[in-house]
Amino acid sequence: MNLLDTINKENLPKHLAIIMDGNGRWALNRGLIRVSGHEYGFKSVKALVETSVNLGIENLTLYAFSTENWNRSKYEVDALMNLLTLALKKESNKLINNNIKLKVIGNLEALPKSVLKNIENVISKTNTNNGMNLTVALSYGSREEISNAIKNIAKKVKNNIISIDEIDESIINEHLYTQNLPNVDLLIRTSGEHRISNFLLWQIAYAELYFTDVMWPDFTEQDLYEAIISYQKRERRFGKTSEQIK
Amino acid sequence: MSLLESINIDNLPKHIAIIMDGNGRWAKKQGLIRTLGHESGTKAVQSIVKTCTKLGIENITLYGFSTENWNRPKIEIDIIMKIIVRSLKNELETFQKNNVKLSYIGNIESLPKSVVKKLLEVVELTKNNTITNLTLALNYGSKEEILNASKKICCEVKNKSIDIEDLTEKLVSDYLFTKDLPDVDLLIRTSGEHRISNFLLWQIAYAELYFTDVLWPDFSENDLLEAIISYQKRERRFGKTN
Repeated sequence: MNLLDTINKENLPKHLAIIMDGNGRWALNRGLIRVSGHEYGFKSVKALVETSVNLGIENLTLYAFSTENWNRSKYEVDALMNLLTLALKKESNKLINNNIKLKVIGNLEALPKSVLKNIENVISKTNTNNGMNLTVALSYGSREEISNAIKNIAKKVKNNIISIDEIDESIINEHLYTQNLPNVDLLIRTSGEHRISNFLLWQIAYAELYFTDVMWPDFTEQDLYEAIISYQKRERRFGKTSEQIK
Repeated sequence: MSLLESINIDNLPKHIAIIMDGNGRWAKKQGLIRTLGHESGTKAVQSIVKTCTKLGIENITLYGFSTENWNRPKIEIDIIMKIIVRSLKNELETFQKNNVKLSYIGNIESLPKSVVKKLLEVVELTKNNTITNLTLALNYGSKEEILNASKKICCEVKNKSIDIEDLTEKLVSDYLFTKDLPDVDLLIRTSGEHRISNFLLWQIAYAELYFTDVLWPDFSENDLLEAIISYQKRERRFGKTN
């Protein structure tokens, strides 16, 4: 039986987040330079977005570039930015046609102006789409996101727009970059590392975590199906006992 | 060779956090009631704390009771609270002997008075101990912790004790319950579940995660050593390339 047939369409994760790790190591294993790993990784992204749309995933969030990644070599950072610009240009029509709404989260001020301009362009073109929300984390760090949210809330408190008693989890949610995205249900990390690396810390509070040794450029449709099937087999208890949720 | 010998004492995690999951399922497997699982779970706690002091682990944080656990049946909650009081009473002598300093994180005001009293007493009596900081997360939820920190920071901004421009990640850390603890290096979760369950979300940003199918009452010294060995084999990159 095909893996796709074993997926229960009524119980899909509403929000799927992915740490796309392993491009560099994949390339080095093949005697290629790290940057070509990112090029192959982009092919995986395209396939993944298409599969997610076909499945009916409502929210897909991809960790493309972290605040810590600015510490990589200038050559690699530049190449990643070029790849991103090219990808946005080439893929914008496909996003529009597939009814995908693009969103970007992160400290965008740190990005080169040309990249930012391209992003804003595609965001405005897909703004009225209401199919899948595709969120790309760029220059993103979850601690930065939370600190930034608190900063913005504090400004409003100072200006008497919000009172301190009103601050609750939903106020924090509204001030995070992810705003109205639902909590993450399933977080996938490729390439065998078992850590979160400062990604969506607040949003993954109750997420199911799925780690696979597959390097990101090798991550296929079948690998996604396997992750979703694993998710669907798990019992999510939210602090209760197994008996209580039956 | 024993597992202990394959541990590199110079590269120990400075902060180990553990989600002690599986007491209820362990009991069910033995045909016992859930609460007996919690009783057996305390034995695992004793043995793990002892191993940590022996190894020289500086900080160990245990998820004892979450903000969500109040949704459990009242009888189970009552018994868990009784077990906590009794364990604190029984362990005091061992803490003193092994130089363990007890602390807590979480909103303890909502806990029964008997628990709060015993807890504060043991915290006070062990405050000058120096080998291992043992932190119990009691009525703890990470989102609540961050929310609580946000409120305090906003108060300070409003009172002009903090300037908005000084609001950094470091400042946020200083307003969390864990302000005196370093980031978590190694997070262990027992019983085969692969999730964080609202535990130390901020503090595990760069932690190595270790999941094991062992149910908490069965978690032994060797299981802890295996987790540490796995930690020591990992390459921590913090966003850089290898």
